[in-house]
Amino acid sequence: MATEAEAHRAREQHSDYLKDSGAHAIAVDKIQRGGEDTFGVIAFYEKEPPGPLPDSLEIEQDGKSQSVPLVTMITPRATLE
Amino acid sequence: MASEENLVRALDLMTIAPKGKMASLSAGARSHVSHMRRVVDTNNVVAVGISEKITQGKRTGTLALTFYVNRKKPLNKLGAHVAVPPAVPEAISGPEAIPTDVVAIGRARLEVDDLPNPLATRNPIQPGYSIGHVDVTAGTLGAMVTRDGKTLILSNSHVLANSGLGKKGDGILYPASLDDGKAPKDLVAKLYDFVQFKVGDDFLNHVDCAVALPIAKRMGDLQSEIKDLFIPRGTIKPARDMEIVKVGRTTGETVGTVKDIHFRFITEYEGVGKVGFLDQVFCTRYSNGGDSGSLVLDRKTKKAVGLHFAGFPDKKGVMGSVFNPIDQVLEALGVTLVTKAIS
Repeated sequence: MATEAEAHRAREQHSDYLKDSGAHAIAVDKIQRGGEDTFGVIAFYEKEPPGPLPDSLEIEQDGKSQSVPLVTMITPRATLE
Repeated sequence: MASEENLVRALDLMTIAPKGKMASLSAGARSHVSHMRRVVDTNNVVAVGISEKITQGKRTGTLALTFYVNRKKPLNKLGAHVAVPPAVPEAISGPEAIPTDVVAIGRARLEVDDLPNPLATRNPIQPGYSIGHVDVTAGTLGAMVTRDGKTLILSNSHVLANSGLGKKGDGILYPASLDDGKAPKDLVAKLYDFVQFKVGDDFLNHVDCAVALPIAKRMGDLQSEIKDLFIPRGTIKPARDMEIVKVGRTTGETVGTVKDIHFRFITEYEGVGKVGFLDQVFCTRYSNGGDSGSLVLDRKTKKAVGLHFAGFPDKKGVMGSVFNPIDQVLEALGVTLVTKAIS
């Protein structure tokens, strides 16, 4: 399971990859994975991403690899208010 | 109990009846009417009407001629010539006397000019109300800030600077054009400065903000207190689960909860193109179109935490609202938040 800080780091390290896959927004929030609470990265897409995406993002921390869950949501872009 | 017809007749005599109608009264009745008219004309009486008499907080079931006053004053401080008599005598009212009542209601005042939106006003110039660049529909005045001794109006670039398409010196309408603001009468400020966007498909921008300089003759109308809230007590950094509050031109006072303090997203600015943001604050939904520019405050400390500017309104998808961290806004514009009343 990932901490909030790990999820922030995963977003920072993988933003370009997610953006290039069509994500228009990337959030970090509490999610459930395997029945357990964890922090994860949530990528927002206007339509289904063109190809398969991993279900987690890998980050390097203190010489060790850590997986952070990734989920996708289909939703319109943010609008100015 | 006096009939409604007699009550209305007595009310007419004391307020709008022409002199000809008075002439038909007996000398005694004319004297009573003159006295009552003097009472009605006193500064403390703000209205006269007919309503159920209330005695010691309880309804009596009897209709009374009611004098609405600014403030109730003790009888010993009122001259006899301006005291409301306990009843309108039969000489005026007809077959039976009409009781009187005195109700304190304060002074009547116009609520919101002739404007269709209650969150729009012309005076005072106050955070929480409608404002906008002359070419923009409507946004919200966020806060008062200062730079080099000048008091400035803070809101979004897409509210005050037409997303950077405007020029310094452009007119600012208060209320905004969507709320019937019209040039030249509602031009209250000029665009003073704004942060240009870095356009493109990258997460590069931190703020959507601008400031306007009020015109000299409206400086005295500025207020730093946010409509229905308070004067911000300073600034604070956002934190996950922080409870926040804002007052916006469209949804008024609403609350939300911070979910993410490093949110990244890309949105489209009309006439500008795609603009990507990073380190934004994503919250539960607290806003709607027209609320842009609202100052977002931490409910606990009453300190400013952000400047609202975007949202995800889709009921079938993600629902949320997004604001710029206030420290980034103030730093980018080189301004200081006003945390005291403007004298």
